[in-house]
Amino acid sequence: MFLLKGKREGAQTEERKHRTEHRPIEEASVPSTLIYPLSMHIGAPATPLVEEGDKVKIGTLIAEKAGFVSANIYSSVSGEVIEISDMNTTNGKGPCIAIKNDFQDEWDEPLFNEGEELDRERKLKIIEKAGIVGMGGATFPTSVKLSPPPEKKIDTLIINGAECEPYSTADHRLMVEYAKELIEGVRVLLEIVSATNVYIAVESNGHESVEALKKAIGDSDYIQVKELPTIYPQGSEKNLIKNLTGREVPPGGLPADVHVMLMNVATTYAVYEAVRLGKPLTKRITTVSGEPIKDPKNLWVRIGTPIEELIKECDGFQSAPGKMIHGGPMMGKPITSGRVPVTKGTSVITFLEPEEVTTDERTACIRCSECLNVCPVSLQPILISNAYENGDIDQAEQLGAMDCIDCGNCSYICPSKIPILDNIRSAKIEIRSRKEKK
Amino acid sequence: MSETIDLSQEQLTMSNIPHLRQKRTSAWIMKQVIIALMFPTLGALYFFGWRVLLMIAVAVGSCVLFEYLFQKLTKRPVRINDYSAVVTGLLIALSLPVSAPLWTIVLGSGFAILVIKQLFGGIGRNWFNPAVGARIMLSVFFGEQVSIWVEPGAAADATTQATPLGILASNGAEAVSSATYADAEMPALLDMFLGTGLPGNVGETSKLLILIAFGYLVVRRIIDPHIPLFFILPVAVIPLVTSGFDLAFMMEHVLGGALIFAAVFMITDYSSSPFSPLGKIVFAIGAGILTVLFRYYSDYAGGVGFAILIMNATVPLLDKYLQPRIYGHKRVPVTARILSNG
Repeated sequence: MFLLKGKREGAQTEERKHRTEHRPIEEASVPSTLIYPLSMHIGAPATPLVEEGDKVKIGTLIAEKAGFVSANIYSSVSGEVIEISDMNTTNGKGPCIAIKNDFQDEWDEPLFNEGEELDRERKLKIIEKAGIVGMGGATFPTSVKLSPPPEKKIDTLIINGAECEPYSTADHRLMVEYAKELIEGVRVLLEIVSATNVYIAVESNGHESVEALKKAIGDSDYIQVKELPTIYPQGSEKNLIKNLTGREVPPGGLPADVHVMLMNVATTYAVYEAVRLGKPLTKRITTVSGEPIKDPKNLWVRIGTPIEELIKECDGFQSAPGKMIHGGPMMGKPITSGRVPVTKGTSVITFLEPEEVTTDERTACIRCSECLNVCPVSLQPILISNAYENGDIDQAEQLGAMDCIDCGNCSYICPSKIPILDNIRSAKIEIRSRKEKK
Repeated sequence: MSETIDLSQEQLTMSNIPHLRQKRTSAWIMKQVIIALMFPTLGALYFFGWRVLLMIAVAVGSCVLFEYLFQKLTKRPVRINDYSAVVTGLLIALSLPVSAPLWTIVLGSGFAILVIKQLFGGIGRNWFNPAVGARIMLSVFFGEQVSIWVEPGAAADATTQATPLGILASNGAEAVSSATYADAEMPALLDMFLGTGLPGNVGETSKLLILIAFGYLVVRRIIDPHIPLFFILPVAVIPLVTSGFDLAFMMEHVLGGALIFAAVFMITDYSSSPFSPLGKIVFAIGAGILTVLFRYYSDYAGGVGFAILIMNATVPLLDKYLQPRIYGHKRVPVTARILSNG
């Protein structure tokens, strides 16, 4: 697709998916020690239920949700709890449980008894119990999302398979290889929220997944597969809602405000496993990719596996990496330690070469207006950035700084290499702290 | 390398998102404009001979030199490597007739770089298009020297030839309708398109070559193709309607003068045009309407330049009142914006 200069829906980042998009998902070998951060979701950190020396199995609840917005954590191996202390995680140092694997792979009790009749409330309870959170990276507890206030009736369910970050192919492979299970997961969700419009959103580069999904849906259903242009950030909530329903989430609002619920495909699969098979969330698919990686792969990973184990799984490096990113190269978080574990939200680990991460020297803005052209929420990013640099926070707020979705398109596209997003984010922090003072 | 590299040995950088940046730089963009300008430059050399090369050398040389000297003297970082002064120099040389004395080129370059660009704050901050400003300044104060349009191939001291627009204008306001203009004096439309045997500013005569440059800039995603079209639209439609749908009259206006050159290289200038997508359209259409008004009601040759300069001055207003609507926000009517003064 060739796009003209001018206002467009987003930026055409290089997809960089070719090395892994056709690679079937492989089972990653399970390490001898796994680390479970108590805070791998949005909300309160979970409370540990085990002590050092306790024996656990796969699916043993090791930490319990601590509040309405929080999530249960399960052991993903059988073995013994060896340490509960602060360890390195993708979010810095935080409390973790370390478990030594006994390689027996024994399972604990399922989430419900076989043959049990499940009503809507019970299904919702099982999803809550299973520790499922948004696995696209947001890690918001799914059971909370599935219980919107009654006045916000949901009429549209969007299953988000628009994996727009470069390198990332985990969701794509899930849709190709587990289309049937995924559609079953959609049915479970529909038993909980009664939406009349159901879309599975896929970027148009994912023909393979579209075919697999259509086959799994059959001909009689109202689940629609929607192919959307491959453009970044196609998979962002606000843009998917606009493109599929024509509605716009109000400023500071949530999708439920416009009667829409979004669910990532990996989350939907986890819902299937919990409600149909009685399995809590203990594993996920993670893509490990980037030029420095010798043999990039899509892997079934037990949650808690240190990232360095995955690098070994991919035959190590073919060149020295310049940056290691938890997530994709547009919005992911840079990390420096290979000891940090894969969490519920780890969809991709990206490695970039040193020359890919060096930025040219910043020069003056030439008013090319490309940051406006690629802003998915129609901000004027450089003006907000200028306002921040001039110390005019009121102006930054007036220009809509708080509406920014952090996609990074403005900084990506800027030919003068101005750190536009950094400035907007700093402006947002100041606006928030001012509000708190008032 | 088969063994695993020890991550702790690596120099892993921490920096803010996004971790990827596109490769193009501002200097790369300017180079693309220079490449596009090579098409009309080759045409100018072909039609008007080697003096064009001298004109370009003087214009580019003095633009770069003035920029360098200004930045040195004001102790600012020297940024001549961004190639923007080269672009300005090329534009100035190409928008003058082959008979223009070299000192006018130096003067125009100095005015463009020092007054219009640097005094307003340098690249990205100038309200007015430097090359257009230079051209206007020269034609206002040194009209005699820079308004001798000779036919290609003629000696420099040959008698002045009327340009097609001059012919349209010499028929005065009556030219508004096609009935009175003298058909026989007008060059054939094909010549106006190709630039063959056409007097005029050296880079502006061959519309074909300018359109090739346009294609290049569009494919390279340097310019938004809609903006030149919005600029040309009124210059086509108004003559068409006022002449009682005389297509030839319309084409003479579209192909005449600096219109096509300005549509590709001037109206699309980043610094002196609006940020706002809607503002850009109003800016282009406004410049088109003003161009027609200048051509209809003024004897002054160079209406395109004045039209652009006037619209340049409206950019802050267009950017203020025609801001894009932010996702999820209500549309604020322009009238409400103006009434609330913001």
